[in-house]
Amino acid sequence: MTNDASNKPRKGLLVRLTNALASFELSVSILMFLMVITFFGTLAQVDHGLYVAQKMYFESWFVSQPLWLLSLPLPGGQLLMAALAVNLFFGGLFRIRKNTRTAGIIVVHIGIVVLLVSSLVKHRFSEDGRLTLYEGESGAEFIHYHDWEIAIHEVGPTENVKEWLIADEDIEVLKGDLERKVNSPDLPMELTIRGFVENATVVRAREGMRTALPVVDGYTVVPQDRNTQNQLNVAAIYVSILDRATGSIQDGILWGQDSYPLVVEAGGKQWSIRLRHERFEMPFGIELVDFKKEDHARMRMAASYSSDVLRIEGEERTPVHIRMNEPLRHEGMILFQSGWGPQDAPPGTPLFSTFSVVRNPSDQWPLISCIIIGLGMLIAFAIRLIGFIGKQMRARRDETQGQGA
Amino acid sequence: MKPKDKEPDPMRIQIMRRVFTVSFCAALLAGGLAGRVEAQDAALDGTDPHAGHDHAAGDHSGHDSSQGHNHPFRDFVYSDEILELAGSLPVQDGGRVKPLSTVADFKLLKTNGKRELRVGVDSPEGKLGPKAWWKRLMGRGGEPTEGKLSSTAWMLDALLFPGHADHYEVFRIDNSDLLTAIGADSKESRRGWYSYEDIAPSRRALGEMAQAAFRKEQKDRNLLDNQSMALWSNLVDYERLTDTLSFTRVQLPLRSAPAVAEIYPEERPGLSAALERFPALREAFGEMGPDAAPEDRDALVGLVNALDGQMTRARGGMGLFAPSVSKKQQAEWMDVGQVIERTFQQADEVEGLVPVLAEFEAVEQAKLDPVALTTALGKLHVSLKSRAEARGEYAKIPMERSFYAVDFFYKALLLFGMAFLFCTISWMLPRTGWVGKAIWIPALVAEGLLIGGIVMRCILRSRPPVSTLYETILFIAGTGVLVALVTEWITRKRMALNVAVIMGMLGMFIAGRYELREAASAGDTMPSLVAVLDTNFWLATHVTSITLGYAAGLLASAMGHAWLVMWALGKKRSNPKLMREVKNMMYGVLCFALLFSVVGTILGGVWANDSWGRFWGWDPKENGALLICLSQLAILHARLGGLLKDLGLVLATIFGGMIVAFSWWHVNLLGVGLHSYGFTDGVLGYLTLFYVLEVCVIAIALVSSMIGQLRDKPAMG
Repeated sequence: MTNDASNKPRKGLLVRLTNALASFELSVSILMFLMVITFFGTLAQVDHGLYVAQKMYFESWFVSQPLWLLSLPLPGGQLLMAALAVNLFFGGLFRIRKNTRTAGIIVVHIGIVVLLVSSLVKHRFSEDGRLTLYEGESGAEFIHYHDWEIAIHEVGPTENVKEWLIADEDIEVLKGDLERKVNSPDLPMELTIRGFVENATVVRAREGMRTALPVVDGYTVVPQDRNTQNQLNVAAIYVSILDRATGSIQDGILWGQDSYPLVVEAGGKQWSIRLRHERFEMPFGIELVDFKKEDHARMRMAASYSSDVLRIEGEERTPVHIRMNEPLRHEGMILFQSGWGPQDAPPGTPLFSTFSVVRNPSDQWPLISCIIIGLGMLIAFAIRLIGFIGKQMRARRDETQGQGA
Repeated sequence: MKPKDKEPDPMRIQIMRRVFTVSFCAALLAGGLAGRVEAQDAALDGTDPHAGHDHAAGDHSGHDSSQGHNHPFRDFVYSDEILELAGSLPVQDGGRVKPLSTVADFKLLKTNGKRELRVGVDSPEGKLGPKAWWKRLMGRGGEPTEGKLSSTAWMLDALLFPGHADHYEVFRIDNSDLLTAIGADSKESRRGWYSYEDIAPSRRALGEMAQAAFRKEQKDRNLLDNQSMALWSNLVDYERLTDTLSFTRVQLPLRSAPAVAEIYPEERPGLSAALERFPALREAFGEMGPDAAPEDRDALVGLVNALDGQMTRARGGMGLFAPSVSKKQQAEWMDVGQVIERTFQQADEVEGLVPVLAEFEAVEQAKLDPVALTTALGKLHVSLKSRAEARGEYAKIPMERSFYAVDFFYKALLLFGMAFLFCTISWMLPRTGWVGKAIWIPALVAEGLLIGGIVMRCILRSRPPVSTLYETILFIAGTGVLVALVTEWITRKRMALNVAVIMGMLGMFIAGRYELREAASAGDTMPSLVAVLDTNFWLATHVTSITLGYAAGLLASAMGHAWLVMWALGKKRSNPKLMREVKNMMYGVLCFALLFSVVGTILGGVWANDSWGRFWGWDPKENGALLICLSQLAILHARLGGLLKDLGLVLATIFGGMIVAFSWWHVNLLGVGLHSYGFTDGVLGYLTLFYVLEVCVIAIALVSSMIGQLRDKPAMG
């Protein structure tokens, strides 16, 4: 054996790749890039709002960060999270030395893996929205905060109504001249949707009015500045309906705040078409029995607000109390007390209660990861602290003995 | 200089009308007399029933003299007993029951910028002024000039001697542009404090300016807008305060009619007398038929209208009257307006309150005689205390009095200052061993006071140590100093002790400055919490952990500064062992910071998952915590990977301190997200200064290091 590096056998590509993926250099680079995009993503919320900043910085593969007159390309949150997972696996679990000193660190890394997995599951498989009820009202579906859908159903039948839905991802991309044809063998018509506007109003087109968007039945879409609070944006989209039987075409505008749906005729029947926030069904219903709001004494600040509800499953009705920090968890659904209104209503006005509703398969996983990480850090910290104190004590003893001598 | 033509606040008039319509008419309807009263109202020349009263809406009792009332000035000094009795009266304000002295403290702090007031010779305290005393001692005689008035004494004057209080220069106005804008710049003020009398003529202009500012979005408001809003708020608060006990000066007008004379033999009964015999008044109404004598009807309706005027006027401000029912049945204490209204309604919660009203009136009648005032205040104190005790709401009043009397944090500041003085002496005389040891005494006492103060606040609030931005400062200072002292106890290098003292001193200084801002925004440093924070479990776990993370991150940064100072002094060559030990200390504290930052951040996510339905929402405050974790993780990994040497590690830790400051304060300034809490106006300037200084420190260290390396290279060559 010799110490001469030149005589060392050259490492294979796989080993070198594994080393690179497990390296501290990669860990530090990922962490620093994460810091950079977290910083810019936080500042971006002032101008763009949370929803857009989240999409731009944290749910993207790459970010183009404006910096004075330049545009700085950066890795996005998804890319960094993926890289972190790889680095964590190779460096923090696979290549790390396994001994008493590193036991705590390994446990911490396991906890972080659980956290990353729970985030991935939440990102890919969860649904969230809101359910608003007045006292005495009941509901079994919740409404997405941001995503839109086009819902089509036949006018007339009141039982077993079948709905055809066009999902948000098929709608929101249709900006400008892009259009999409939507067909279903069960529908006697073909829909062409185009001209999606994220935030708009629909107004009567006056004579001489200059509008870049088409006028349909005397109305046109007027784009509005995007609200930084995304849930306040009201979308609009143009739609053309081709009756396959007759070949006639009807044009219309769908707007997210329309009081009534667009009603068209096709195949000898009437059809309702509406643009609305995406809806999800819950496996049970909720009836709001009583909403309570208590203010702090001699103040207008709410001290607490809570809802007494009935959970409806078939014929069974179970009373449940939902309040801040105490949600209802049942059948994979979680209902949180999130709001109420109308604000500043005079006494006696009926109040509504708003629940945040979430379906999240990884609901409690972060808590588990927190326990694992905390435990791991405590182990690692305790080992180091004990070592540090022991070292200090020995040094002081040596010092004292030295002075004595 | 009394304003004669003040405009009633339109908002207040609207509220008054609504209250009249809803409550009083409802009460009279119950007595079957609404029709008669309405008819009588119409007969009374169609004017607003309140217009004939001696206090127009928006006006206050301090202006009674302009309308025929006479408010005497106080000509005696309040005795300690009077101040003690008044200061410990329980009142409800800002969502909780507290001593009157606390309300006085924060009202004065908000308006005046200080907890005591300088007064001139027109106040008895002015005659005891320190300058006069000094001159007398030096045998130079001369007239007394000014003295100090405690917050409780000022409040007593505002309540009992509003005309006198109007003369005090209590309103702090720093900006001469504001005075010019409202046309109040005629008075020359040396110090920037103005009396109510100085500002009152400009009330309308100030109100319009403030209303215009209120209508703007926060980001569009300039300094003048903010100051006009603050001054307007202080002015209205003051007027409400001086109006609080106006009910004790009421003498209800009676017309000579047999029906009234039977009930009220006295010519002008006070409010308590009127309410005491309200059942008889109600009965008289009930018995009054359509053929009742017009003078009887006029007299009764006039009296009822007068009572209604009092009821609508005496709304808002502090709750003085604890209800007779349990806290669970009714948490809210009542003001006089509510007492009158509930008496009309014959509600249970006002049972036994009329004698208390009479005791307030007795205080008013006794105010010119200090002995009589002491007696009257004593009786009132017993009554209010027993009512509060019956509801279990008095127990913490004496403790809160003690808390503010001891003034833990100010004394801690002084002691940390003394310890810092010892530190500087020890730096100049490093071989004098006893000075170094002497640092421990004030440092430990100061830390004891700081921890004692935090514990008392926890007991008073029944909350964990951190639930407001102000409390984060106290907790970070307390825990940072504690960790540094423990580190010093282990290492005995005096380095951590110095850092502890500096951190404690800075923390207490910042806490003192911020207390003023919190007083201005929340009116108290123990404010009521929003609904989502009403959970002691999460406040004790997440908030405490994350704040410990802040404290340790800043302590590590402070130790980094200490290392840099030693490095700059060339200790790397003269005492490399010490340098290594300080670096190790810093690294250890950084690990400690990481532990609490990570656990605190994840616990915050778990709380958010229970409150808002998501673990992580990329909210600015969450991102700030994430930035701290990421920076500390990056430093530790870079250190483990050998990417950071000693200087790099220290500079990165100092940079980490900047990230802690960003997360602690700066994200709240962005004005977005779910965590934009606390009063942060004016903080940006200090933060920017901190960032600039830290960047300079890092840059200078890097440049010095590069120059040093360049110098070393030829030498080595």
